[in-house]
Amino acid sequence: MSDKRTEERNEAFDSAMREKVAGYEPTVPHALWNRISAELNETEEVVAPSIPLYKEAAVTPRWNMAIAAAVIITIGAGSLLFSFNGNNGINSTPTAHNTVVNAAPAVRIPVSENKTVAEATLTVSKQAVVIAKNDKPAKNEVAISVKPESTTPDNTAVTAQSNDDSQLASMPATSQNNYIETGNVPVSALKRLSAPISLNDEITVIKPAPSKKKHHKHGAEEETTTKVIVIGKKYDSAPDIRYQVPVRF
Amino acid sequence: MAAAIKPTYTEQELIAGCITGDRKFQELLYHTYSSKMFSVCLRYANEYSAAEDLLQEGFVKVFKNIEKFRSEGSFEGWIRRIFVNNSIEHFRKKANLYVVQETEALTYEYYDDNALQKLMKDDLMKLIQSLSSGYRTIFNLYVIEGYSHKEIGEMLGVTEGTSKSQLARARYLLQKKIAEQMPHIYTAPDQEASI
Repeated sequence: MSDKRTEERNEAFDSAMREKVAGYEPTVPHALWNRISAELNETEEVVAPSIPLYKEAAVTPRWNMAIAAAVIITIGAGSLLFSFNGNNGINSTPTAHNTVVNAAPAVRIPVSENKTVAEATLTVSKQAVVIAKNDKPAKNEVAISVKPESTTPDNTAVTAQSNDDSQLASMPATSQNNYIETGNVPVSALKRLSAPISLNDEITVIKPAPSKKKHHKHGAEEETTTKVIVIGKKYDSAPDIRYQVPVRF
Repeated sequence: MAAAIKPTYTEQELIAGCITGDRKFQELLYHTYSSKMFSVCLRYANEYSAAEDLLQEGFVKVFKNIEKFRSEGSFEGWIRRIFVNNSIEHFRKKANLYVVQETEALTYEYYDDNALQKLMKDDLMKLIQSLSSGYRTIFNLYVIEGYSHKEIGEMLGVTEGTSKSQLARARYLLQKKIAEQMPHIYTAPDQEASI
């Protein structure tokens, strides 16, 4: 058989095979779709967990950040409260531009008359006028430990310089009053001072007269002026913002 | 199966539904093309159960990749290529190309076209399945799918000459089997050509 004839016969065979196969559509097993559907379900179930894993991975840092933020806020709030309420540290040279606006109510601490306290001579270096505004809440206040001028003749302080409330509370009574007042001298006027207030400075604390309403109700009350000497100053950890120095009238 | 459900959707609607993963549309698509694709699988498989597996794998691939269909050709042709490629993957896993003498002009001398015409299609499928995987795959790709020997060589990783020789041998064996299947049409001589 020649190659050409063989080729022709092969082509005829191929064509017949194509025709025979072309229209062939066998019956498909009935349960095959269930198998396909089950496999598709399995595939989807395998893929599905990747979604929550991704979400979890995205959420976890947020929780960490939330916890970190809560800790920071707590610490910040605590430190703010502490700085407003506590007397921490000592400022040796407060400056006038470190202004304090309002005053806190003075606190009276009874002191025993018989308590002996070492005396020290203080030298007044400068004078200043401090206007007290006790009717406003304390905010960024400068508190200065002072003593009444009248009780300290010749610029001699009745007590040693003290830098904390406990020592100030142990200061002896003066002839004018039988107690020592510590508190926050509002020194909003300090901003007007040309020089910083330092220890042993003599300042005049002027307590403004009560408001007009109070004036009418309780009769005439004038502003009071007290000359005091700074014997201690305190401020918190942010001296540029707030001073707190016990004061004694 | 295809007659059991009469889809009232257009082909585009069917495809769109399958892209969304809707099982109802997927089942409609399956019933539309399963019979034709099962025919493809039976030709490439060596037995019925293997054809079932190929059909299952093929449809899973169709549903997973249906969003890649670009409507550039016929959808049935696209599905068919998936099934053919899936079958070729199985061929590569079970590559079984017999070493044969390179020849292209080989035909069974006692084959008669009438035998093929009278042969039942199911029986023809069984004869095709009885070929070794190499013969069967190359025969299907060249004769039924219409690929050239060059394309087959690239698809299967063989030379064109190998593809031609395998085809010639596959064709010879099929003709012989058909002749033997239909003895009343033509009776082959006792002596067989050496294969």
